[in-house]
Amino acid sequence: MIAYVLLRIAARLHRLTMPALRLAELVCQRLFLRRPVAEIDKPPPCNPSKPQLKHSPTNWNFDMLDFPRTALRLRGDDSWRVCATSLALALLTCLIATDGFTAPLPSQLGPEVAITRPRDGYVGRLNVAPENGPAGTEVTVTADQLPPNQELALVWRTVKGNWKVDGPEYHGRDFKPVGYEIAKVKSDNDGRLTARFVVPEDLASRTTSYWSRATGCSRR
Amino acid sequence: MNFSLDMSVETSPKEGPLGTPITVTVKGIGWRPLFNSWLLLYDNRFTG
Repeated sequence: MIAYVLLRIAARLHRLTMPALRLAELVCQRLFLRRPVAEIDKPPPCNPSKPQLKHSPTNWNFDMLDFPRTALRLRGDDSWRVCATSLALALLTCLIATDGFTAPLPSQLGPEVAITRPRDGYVGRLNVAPENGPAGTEVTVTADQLPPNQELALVWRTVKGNWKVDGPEYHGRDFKPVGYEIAKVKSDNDGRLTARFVVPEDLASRTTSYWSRATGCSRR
Repeated sequence: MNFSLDMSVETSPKEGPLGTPITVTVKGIGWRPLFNSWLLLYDNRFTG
């Protein structure tokens, strides 16, 4: 009731003639925007000196794929170009057909291993570059200060999710930690190692990590 | 040592006439509360 009275007062002060329900709807939509009440039903101002958007800012952006036009302009005597283009298209088709562009699933990284804690604490230092990225990102892992000539397992740690259902009762979801062995690596004489792998499709928000077991080098 | 998996969103197809079904593929959704529920807005309207 108080909000309704305030809206009526604002409408009268700014000489707004729109229906009260319309004003309430507009106020709700522009609650966190710095817009004068008198211009609340006007479209947003635009500055002609700035480039205009070619699409609605509230809608998705459907861009045309920008294929280089010269790539399809082949002459009859450019047989080697025709062959190369055909070969590239065939390779592209194969990659798409075999999901060559998609990131692997965690279970495709390697065998499932038990999540264990290091027996004598963590040793060494493990770095990853980059520290974040979408699925499919190639990651380089470097480690130093490890025991020399020690075989370690690089493990991707994540969780397995299941529904918690007890007959007709639903009790939410259950997530259990699980690890998948990416590769076995061996430190050199100086206690260093380097490995690379592709980030799988997995759950996000710092829930995934990898670490090496055996001597348990992890966590700076 | 942690690696943060970023969420990625793709729409397919990238263009089409009115009435074209659009598939939205989201990868890297978190499992924790507040990270596992997302809303899809089209034209500033809730769709799912």
